[in-house]
Amino acid sequence: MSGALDRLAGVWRLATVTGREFLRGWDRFWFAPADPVVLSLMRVLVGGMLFYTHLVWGIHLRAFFAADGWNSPEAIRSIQEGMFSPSFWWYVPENLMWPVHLACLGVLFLFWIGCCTRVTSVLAFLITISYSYRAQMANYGLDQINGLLSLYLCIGAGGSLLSVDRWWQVRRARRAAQAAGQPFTIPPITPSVSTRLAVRLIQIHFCVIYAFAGLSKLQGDAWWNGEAVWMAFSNLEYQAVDMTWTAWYPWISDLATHSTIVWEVFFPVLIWIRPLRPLVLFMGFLMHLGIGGLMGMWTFGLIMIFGHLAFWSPQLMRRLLGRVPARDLLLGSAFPSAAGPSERHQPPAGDHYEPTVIRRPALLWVDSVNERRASCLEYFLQAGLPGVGSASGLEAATVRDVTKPAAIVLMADRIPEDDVESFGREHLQRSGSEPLFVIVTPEQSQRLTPNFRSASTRIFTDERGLEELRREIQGALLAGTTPTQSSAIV
Amino acid sequence: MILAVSPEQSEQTVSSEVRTQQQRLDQPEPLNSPASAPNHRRGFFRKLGYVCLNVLLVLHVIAIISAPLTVGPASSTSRKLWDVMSPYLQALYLNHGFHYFAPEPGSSNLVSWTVTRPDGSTVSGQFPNFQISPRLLYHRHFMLSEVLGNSEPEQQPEIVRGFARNLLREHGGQSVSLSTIRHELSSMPRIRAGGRLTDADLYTEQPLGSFTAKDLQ
Repeated sequence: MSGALDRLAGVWRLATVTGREFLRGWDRFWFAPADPVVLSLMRVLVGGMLFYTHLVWGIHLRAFFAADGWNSPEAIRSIQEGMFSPSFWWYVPENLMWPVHLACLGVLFLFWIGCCTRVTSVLAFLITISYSYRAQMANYGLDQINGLLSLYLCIGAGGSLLSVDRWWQVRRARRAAQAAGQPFTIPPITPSVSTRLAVRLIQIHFCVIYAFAGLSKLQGDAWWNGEAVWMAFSNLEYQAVDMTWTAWYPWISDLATHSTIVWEVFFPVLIWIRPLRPLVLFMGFLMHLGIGGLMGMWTFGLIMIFGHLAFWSPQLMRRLLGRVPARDLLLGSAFPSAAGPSERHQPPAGDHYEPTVIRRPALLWVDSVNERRASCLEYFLQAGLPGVGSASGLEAATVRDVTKPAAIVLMADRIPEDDVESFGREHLQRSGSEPLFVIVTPEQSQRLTPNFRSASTRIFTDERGLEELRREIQGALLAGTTPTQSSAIV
Repeated sequence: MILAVSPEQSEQTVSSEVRTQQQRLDQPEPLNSPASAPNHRRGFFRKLGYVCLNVLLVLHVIAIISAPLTVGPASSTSRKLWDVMSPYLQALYLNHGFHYFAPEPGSSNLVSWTVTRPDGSTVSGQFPNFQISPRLLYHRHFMLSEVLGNSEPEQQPEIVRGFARNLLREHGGQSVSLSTIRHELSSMPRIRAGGRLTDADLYTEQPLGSFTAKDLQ
């Protein structure tokens, strides 16, 4: 009896642990803060595509949107019967069609360049679906993907980088620093939960698209006997390049047909296997390049490739964008959420958490009082000096060696004195040691000061505010007492 | 904030400046603190928001799967799911099947037309045609003819009348006649035997009717 109970308890424990792990994984998958660099680049590319798409609508604006145009209200209503299909175009009188269209182009342009992105992203989405629903008979895959990408770009922080919003943010910070007579630091970029959510939703949606695109093809004989790609090649209305020469090489169509099916059906699985991801994305790139080049659907091929960017890692993206002009201004620096206590979701390193560390922290804050350490790190982060924390001298030495901060602040008042002394001795023995700021009580100063005699060390025993300390630190870093100063001060 | 002065004062190091920051950071107060009540409430609402967000995420993923799942042949369960989810998907323009070139690539549809002007002169055309540029605009016209060619019989008259009305307006015509042309695909053996994609026998024309401006009012 007791054996059975033990087994039951074991199963219960296993279920609890598994359930907890699942929930932790779920939380990490959807809500681990993400670097906005991927979403920002997607905003630039998708924004450009939205602008172009709507620019082209304007060539025959009346033909596509007027009541006496191709998409007559009667025809559209009969197609959309029973559907909820919102579009502001139903309420635009004919004499206002051009002003409304120009205003929409203006909004899309602002979204493209990342101006007031939080507002323009929502407007861009509403514009996209309004045009699509009103001119439904002229829609195809491009409009579907435009719609879903613009929806998800409303959620994430796509305007954080590569945007006018970013430029404004930097400009404001520069002016504020000038007004306060302080050295200017470029505002850092903080990973955000909304960005992760948007990227995940795009990823999941693309998996659904390819899964059903692949599975639905399995109903047709041509996708089994290898003729499907030939049938696409031999469709004159889709043709951009004459591919009829492949009739003498049937294996080309066979290979392309089978590859397409395998790629689409297995995409939702293979894309999550990290070592295979570059190959899967490369094959997708080739496929969509083929659709663009051979079938003339460049816009559709490109928007799908833009969507694939959601699967790229922020690190790779930053490496590729590393040579853009005004890099600091446009891309900023992304810090792992460990740098600031305000990040609630601090997942362990795992498959889905990819913090991007571009720069070393400006500060290592050694303080055993957790709340004070957190508050001070938050203060310095907002002042443009992101830092990492440590609770003891022993731990601080390791953190210092790993993170290589530009300066160290040691709050000695609550740390055991032997720990403070051993850290001080070890730190000063290192060549080229970082500037060290030690805050001690008057009682401690008598005993500890002799251990910290060095050009790069400053000991404070008097009352000192955070503002004052920040000025001291920035002054020391700007004075060039250490070769690492440029890592944080711009 | 005063960082440190003496051991006695160290308990008070979290001075007003830090306290303000702490409140901003939403760090929990000790449970016995009178200030903890609002934080508890905030914690409850945050948890509630988190749960709601997760439920919404699950529903959203089910919804985006339900749209392509309902494209025939579909089960009665998937159709019921679609009935529930469709308003949400339609509102967000996510109601798509993603059945690209499925079950297999097929023939194309074109529309040919002739407009007669008040002076008796006629102008003829066809869409899509490769003179339409840029390519995106060409595809817009191609989709118009495809929708007409693949539409339900009861929808076709309204679509044709819309096309006729636009052609009359664009060309200042008095009457217009339209027909739809189906362009069948060519097989590999046919091409190898010297056939071409533009061979006349691959095209089948079906008249859609003639309309005057008066008919369309």
